[in-house]
Amino acid sequence: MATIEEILAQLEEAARNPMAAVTQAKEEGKKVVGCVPYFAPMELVHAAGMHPVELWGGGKITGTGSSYYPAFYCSVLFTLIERALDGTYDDLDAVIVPTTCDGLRNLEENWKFARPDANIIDFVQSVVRDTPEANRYFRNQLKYVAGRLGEVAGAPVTERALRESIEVYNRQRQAMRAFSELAAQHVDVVGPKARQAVFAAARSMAVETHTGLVEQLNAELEALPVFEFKGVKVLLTGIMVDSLPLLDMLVKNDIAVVGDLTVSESARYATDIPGKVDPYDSLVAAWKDVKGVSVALDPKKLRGDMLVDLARERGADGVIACIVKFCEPEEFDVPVMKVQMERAGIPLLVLEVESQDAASEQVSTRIQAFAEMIDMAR
Amino acid sequence: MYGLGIDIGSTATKVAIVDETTALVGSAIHGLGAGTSGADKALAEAFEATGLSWDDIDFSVATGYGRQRFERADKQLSELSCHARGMNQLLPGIRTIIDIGGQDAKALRLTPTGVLDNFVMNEKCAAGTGRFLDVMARVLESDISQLGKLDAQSTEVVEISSTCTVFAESEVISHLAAGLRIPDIVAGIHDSVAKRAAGLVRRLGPVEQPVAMSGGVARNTGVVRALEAELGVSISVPENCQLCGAIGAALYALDRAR
Repeated sequence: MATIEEILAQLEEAARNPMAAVTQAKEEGKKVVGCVPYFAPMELVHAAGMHPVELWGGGKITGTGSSYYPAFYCSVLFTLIERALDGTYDDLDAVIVPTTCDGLRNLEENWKFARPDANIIDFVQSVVRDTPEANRYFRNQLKYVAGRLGEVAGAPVTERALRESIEVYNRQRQAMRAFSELAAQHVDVVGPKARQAVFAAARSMAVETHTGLVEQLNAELEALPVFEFKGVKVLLTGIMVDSLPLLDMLVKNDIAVVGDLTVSESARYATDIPGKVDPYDSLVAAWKDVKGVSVALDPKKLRGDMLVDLARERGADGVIACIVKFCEPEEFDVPVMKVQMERAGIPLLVLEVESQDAASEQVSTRIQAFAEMIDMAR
Repeated sequence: MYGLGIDIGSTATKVAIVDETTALVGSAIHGLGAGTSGADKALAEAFEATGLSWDDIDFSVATGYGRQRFERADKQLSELSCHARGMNQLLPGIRTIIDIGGQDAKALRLTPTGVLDNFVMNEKCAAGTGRFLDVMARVLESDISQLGKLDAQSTEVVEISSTCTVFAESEVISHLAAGLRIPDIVAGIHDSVAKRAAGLVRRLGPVEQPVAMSGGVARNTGVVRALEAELGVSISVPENCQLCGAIGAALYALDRAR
């Protein structure tokens, strides 16, 4: 049985070198399909017998992306097009690009233009998610993606295979939900960076391998006594919180992460994919179940209220919203979220973040001041 | 018993020393900030003026942009906490603080008892900060300390529509080339800074009064005038507005010393 340290080290290795999983899968003779966020149907790739890898861009901005985007554009999209241009994604057999936001729609178009050799599978999610017409439309989109994936795989995606894949992914969803709770009780063992790594490793590792490791980790954590943390406990929310310097700043200021409502982390595991007779209907229902994130239309704007509930459940002292710079859906969520949190008396810190490993002195000051503010109010 | 606070900002270093009664017994402001000899010089000036030395200090707190690298201090605290504490000492009962420093601007909301309740800071942009005013003063061939007086002579404010410092500089140059009066351009610059700062304050929610300003830019009466007009509130400026953070740090130091 591996120790907690060994499991975390393995997951961190996968999280920090996501393309290593692509190389490994290719060596094993598997085809690999990139899945651009947000909420691309990785289950379909798995059902097609291929290896899905979620692409979040990242790495240094070299400037080549400015041929396609303004220099100040969302760094997730900017680095995605740069990695497409610099050949990082050349080994991928296809890339699914959802158009969850306006920027992604342009990414899909620009990627095809910039790299005509890339096999881009466009995937337009329904904006409205609670009408029969929207559901029918979305099901057709999923069938279209399955068809394109079948062409790449050389064999059609069967409903039986999809049902099995949904089960595999549901097991991962359950393991990740359990991990989130256990990590909150053991912040001495699972620090902010380790916690992020457990989520980030899922982007590239084989789902079965990742689930197995997380289940082992959960078992080990469960055996430990609950750690009574005296510092400041926070929830994170945003599209992604991948900046390691920023996570280090949390540690430096005696802040622990006890939960999140983040697209790249817990949001994608919030519920199981519902069991339906038709597995495509299951995926439609799973999209309908996505809640509390800026990139999925929510007429009720539940994000702030969901954070309030989670903060109370986990005993969090505050919430840090990490808003990816120039991400409009995120910016638009902030005012509502702010009022909801304020009404509940839960402090909210809004930080502007980038997809790269960057964090400024200003960010450091805000984090320190936020921790001091909470500490002094105790 | 003495507590020392040192606020190492981006463009200036401020030192405050308080005694056991919380009275300010010594202070210094030196026009060099983080990464320079400003900290040493400000300390030397404060010690010389008071006849004290580092050995007389029971506890010290560093704050400001350069706080992390000032290892002599016993503790580092963020400037947000220190400004809140300092202002509560200078003007008790203040509920909103607008602090505009050399390279950042902040809006702080305090509880009725003077504890920091919430804050917002400017993003990575010099617009609306002291740096913005420095750039504009240079273009206008004026001294930064004269901008307030020039503002008072304005009769018809010239609107500066660019929010970016670089573009605003070009806009000011074009206004100068068009022969517009310098006091009117200065008033427009101050309105532009006020709009940015007011935007920060509004992000905190409804403006809690009374409101005060701290930081070096608070000495510019033109900015205070423009902010009062923009927010529709009266703004108090303590005499030691630039020392606010250092005084707060010194008071935290005194707490620890006790």
